[in-house]
Amino acid sequence: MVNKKIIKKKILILGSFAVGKTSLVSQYLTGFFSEKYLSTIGVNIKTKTIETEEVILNLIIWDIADIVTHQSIPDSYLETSHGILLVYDLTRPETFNRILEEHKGFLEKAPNLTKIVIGNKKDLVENMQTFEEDKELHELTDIYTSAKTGENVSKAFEMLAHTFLEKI
Amino acid sequence: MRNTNQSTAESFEKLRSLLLEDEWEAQNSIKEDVQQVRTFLKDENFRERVAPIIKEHLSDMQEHFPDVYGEIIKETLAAQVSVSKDDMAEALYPLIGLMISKFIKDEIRQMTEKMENTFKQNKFLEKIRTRFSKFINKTPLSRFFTKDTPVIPPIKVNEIYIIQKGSGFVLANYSKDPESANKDMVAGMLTAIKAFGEDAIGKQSEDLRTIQYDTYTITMYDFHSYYFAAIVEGPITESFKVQFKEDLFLFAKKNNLEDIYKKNDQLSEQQLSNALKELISGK
Repeated sequence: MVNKKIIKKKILILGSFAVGKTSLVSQYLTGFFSEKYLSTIGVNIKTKTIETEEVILNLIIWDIADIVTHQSIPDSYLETSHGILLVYDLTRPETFNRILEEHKGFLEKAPNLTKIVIGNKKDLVENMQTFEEDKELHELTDIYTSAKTGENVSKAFEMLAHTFLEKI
Repeated sequence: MRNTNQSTAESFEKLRSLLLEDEWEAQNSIKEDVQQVRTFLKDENFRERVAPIIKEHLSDMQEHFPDVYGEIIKETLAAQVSVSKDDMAEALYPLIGLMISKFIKDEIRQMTEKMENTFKQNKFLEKIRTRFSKFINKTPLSRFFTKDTPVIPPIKVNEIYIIQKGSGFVLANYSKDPESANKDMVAGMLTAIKAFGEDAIGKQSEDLRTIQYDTYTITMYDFHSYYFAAIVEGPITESFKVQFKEDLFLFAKKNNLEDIYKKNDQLSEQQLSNALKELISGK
């Protein structure tokens, strides 16, 4: 057996109510507890292991119940995390306005965390050009996904994993 | 032509001697000084002459060392302690824990001995004690404080984890049940519940110790930067908790858990998990 290095990274997935956070992670990640934990304890843990020739990367995703902002999130959650997935719903403008605010807030509160901004529910959008014309939002968004069809979902998580592997 | 060359050479030589005269003098003076030092050092009496001076300096330094260097050393030590306080706490935690555990055991033993003696000295109390002992199968009184009466079903440790505080990362684990839940998720959820408790109560110094489900208990033991979580079957008694915590302190010491974050590879994690297996195999 090759003795591989183990790297563990804790990720928080945040966003407004019903933007598709849980669907997004369920599409990609294996093994999760019943969703009832999200509403009872306020968090659900999901894991993903990515193995390369040299390392084993364990992504531990904390899916946090709505609505968590950079002000309300417990410090203990942030201090021990390595990355944040900020998700908004492409069909609901109020969710991406919120992401603009939250992104700024998290930049100030946790500048060293890797942040990936995801525009979800791409399958419900007829004309993506509208979003691409919104410069501020388009520049902030790292990837557009559809948790329903699975489009770009793996890619979004791989982007995050890639940033961790790059730093090794 | 030859005369012209000769004249140029002479002029050059004259100019050189004018320009370098001072340097030559200085050079010669240094040479003389060096020669004198060499002669001085070769002198057989040199050591005898210098030794008392060095001795005096050393003695003087020894005497005034705290005044001269005390503050610097104090500052250096304080800085070093501040930098490595987490490492120190990590290393000291099991040792202090063992000391406390030993102290508590000694105190209980002394207390029960005193009580035994009091009973022996007092006839009336001795009578009660004898009747009481007969009633419960002649068990010595001290056993009520130091040992458990037999319990049914017996206490079994089914699963054990070492979890990093805050992040919830599993540092090692062992489960007697091969189909137990995903270890990362169990550790994450426990950590989240602990964090929730701390936030709700608002006291970070208070730790969640147990979660009970009917005959199963998740019992947690906090160390400096990580905690142990064990899934125990059967009614947990106080003496089990004390003994188990002592076992964990010994485990931490034996397996150098203060260095746990330095060994983040498969082999080290496996070795530690095997050690956990050994720890709970008899329990």
